[in-house]
Order: sequence, then structure tokens, then C-alpha cells
Amino acid sequence: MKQKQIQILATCLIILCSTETLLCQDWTQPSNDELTRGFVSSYLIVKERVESKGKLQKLLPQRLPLTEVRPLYSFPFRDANLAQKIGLDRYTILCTFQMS
Amino acid sequence: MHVPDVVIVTALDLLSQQNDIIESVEIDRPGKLFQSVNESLFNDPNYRQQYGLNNIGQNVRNNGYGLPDADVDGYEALRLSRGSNSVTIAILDTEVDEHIDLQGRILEGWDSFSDTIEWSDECHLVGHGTGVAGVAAAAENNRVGIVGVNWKVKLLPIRIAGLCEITQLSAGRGIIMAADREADILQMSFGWYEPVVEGFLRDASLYAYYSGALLVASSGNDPNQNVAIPAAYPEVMAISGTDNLDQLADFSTFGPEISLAAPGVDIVTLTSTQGDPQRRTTVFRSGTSFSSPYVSGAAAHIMGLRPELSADQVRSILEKSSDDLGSVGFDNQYGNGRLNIFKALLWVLNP
Repeated sequence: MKQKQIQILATCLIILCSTETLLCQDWTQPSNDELTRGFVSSYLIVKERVESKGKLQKLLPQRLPLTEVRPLYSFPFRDANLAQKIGLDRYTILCTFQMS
Repeated sequence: MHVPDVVIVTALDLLSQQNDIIESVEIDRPGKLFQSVNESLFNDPNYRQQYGLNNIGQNVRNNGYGLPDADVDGYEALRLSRGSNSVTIAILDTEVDEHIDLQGRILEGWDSFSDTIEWSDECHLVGHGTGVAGVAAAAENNRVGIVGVNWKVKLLPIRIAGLCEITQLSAGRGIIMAADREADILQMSFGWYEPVVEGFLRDASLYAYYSGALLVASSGNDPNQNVAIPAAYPEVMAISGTDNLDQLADFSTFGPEISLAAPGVDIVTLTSTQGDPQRRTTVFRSGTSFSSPYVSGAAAHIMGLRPELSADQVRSILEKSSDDLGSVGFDNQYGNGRLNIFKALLWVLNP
């Protein structure tokens, strides 16, 4: 179970929430103990502004050094120009990690 | 999995504090496959049960005699085209099984969940994707199963449904992948009853549309809802469902976005092989899930005959050649009319 959670965490960034208090902590890095007791409860699809593209993906790893930042679509677009025009290149997955 | 609303709200609030760099945040919401609520199995090839292709007034499943010619003229159309293996339909759904009726035409697929979530076989066994593929593409007179709309088209399975549930994240990624794999047609029997708004699913659909693909989607299985997304997007053909009397199916979602109607009640099609390619079981299903693949198969015929046509042109031909039902001209129930493949192919061959 622990292995699966870590695998999932590696695919998204984290907002840590408590089931008991229903409070979320911004930019929190779960401890190993918390990783074993919590679960990813939802995914959030975030689109960055054109003028600040890339800032989110730089900012969050500074707060969460152990997590891997991945774009929403982890393959090169066949038509990168079209993807950029539509804005598909500005998406990132975040997730809420909830303590049980 | 239940997520307390307050958790979502709090998370979104935290993110909104970064509004100098974040344009939008969406919650990845679960959607629905527009599949039947009841089904029954039989073991014999039964083309006669396929009123959708050729309605001779047969009494399907003892649910009442049909209206002769309340069909897509699929039987007549096969005199004009048997399909083309140069055309590919992406089946965005549960897995498409290596059913003997689809043998040799299933390309190497892609799994939208493969890099994020462990896969469950639960939906694999349901056979929804295999059923959708069967309506569009089951093989001709091979003494097995059923007859599909298009006998030669290739199929690209894009698995976007896991744990019998899909999300906008999995669907959107699948749509992009189907476009990047250069599928000619995207067959989508799923959706969300939500307003048409900008977001990831919309952006993914636009990417596929501007890449040149024809997008075909089921309207939904709830007449009290608005047409589901992605069907409701302007760049997508929204397909409602009819019965063997050419009446709108009582479950079919409808609205001004409907492009065409196609049979969707008591549709006999393929189902899961459960790992045995020789397993030949077929199944009756109902739902707009099984209406839209009639349109995808028809579009594949046109693209095979006239590969130079754009997706918009193919859509226009299908709409103009349909049989007008309901109110004269366009209406919210049938859109431009019920699909007529024979007339569409005549239109293509004699423009």
C-alpha cells in the first residue's frame, strides 16, 4: 500500500488535508508516517496563465523538494504548435492528500 | 471515493492565492459510460436481431414488432462499400477485446491510467468497449457474432475507463493520445452532464478537432439532462438514440446540440471474451453508447471512399443525407435526422 501511494504521489503535487479537521495545509510535504496513513483523495487540473507559464512548476518543487513535477500529458505532442496555441502545454496535475 | 466538499473548497482556495500564475483549477470529476441497465446473453450469430442495420419489422427480444425500414440502411450500404483498412476509429472506452469478430484489425492501444493508477479488471469484464467496437466494426459473414457497420476499418483502443469509472483527466489524455496517434475518428460513449465551459476536456477536444479528426459522442442516457459533454461541444457530433419504431429512446438525452440520431435500444453486439479469443458470446445492450458507433462506422465508410474530405465535410454529408424524423427539419430530439448510411454513400459517390 505504501508503495502505491508513493507512486501516485510521484505523479502529482500535494495539498495535505486532514480528514479530522478538514483543514488543508498549503505546500506541505507529507512525512513518511503520513504517507502510510493518508491517501490521494482528488486530482486537480491546474492551468497556468500564459504570462507566467512554467512558474508553478518551478515554485512547487521548491516547497516540495521530494515530489516530482509532471505535466498533465507526459508525451510530446505530435503538433506542439497546436497544443501551445490551445494552451494544453500549460496544464499540471495537483492532488489533495488526505489523512485518514 | 468521497471527498468532503470542504477539502475541495479549501484546496481551491489555497490555489486561488496563486492567481497571479494560475488561470484555472478544475476538480477531476468522475463521469459515466452511457451503457445499458439490463442485458441478456445468447450464443448464436443473429443478424436478424440487428434491426438497426436492417429493420424488416422483426420482433427483437419480444419487445414488440419494429417499423420496417426504421434503420440506418446498413444492409443496403454494404453494396456500395465494405469499408477500408486505411481508416482508423479510436475507441475511447474500456478495453476492446481481441474478439474473433474484430480479428486482425485492432491496433496496439494505449491506457490512460497506466502511469498513474493500478488497473482493475472489473470494467474489462463488462465489455463496454468491445460492444461499442462491435457495432462499428464487427466482421462480415464469418458465421460469428454480429455484423458491424464497417467491416474493414481499423480500431485503436484507448482505455480511459477504470474501476467502471472515467474522469475528465483520463478522458482528456485519451483524446489527445488518439489525435496524436492520428486516428481519423474518435468514438466517445461517455460524458458528464455539465455546462459547456472551457477546461481541460474542451481543450483536448479542440486539439483533436484541429488535428483533423472527426469527433463522435453519445448524447447521454438521461432525458432530464442537457446533452452531456463532450457531445455538447460544437466540434463534436452529438448522437441521440432511437428504437425499432424510429421513436426517440425513452432514456436518450436530447437538446439543440444533437447532430444525428441512431439506433440505441436492444442493440445486439459483441461482449468481453474474458481472455478467450474464441469466446463468441454476444449481448443485447441499450444506451446512446451504442448509437454513436453507427455514426463512426458510417463516417469511416465515407473517409475510405473519399479520403480527401475533411472531417467537417464528412459530418456535413452525414447530416444532409439523414432521414428527417420528428418535426420537419432540425429538431432537438433527432437533430438533423436518423443516420442513413446508404444515402450518405450515394451522396459521396454521386456528389
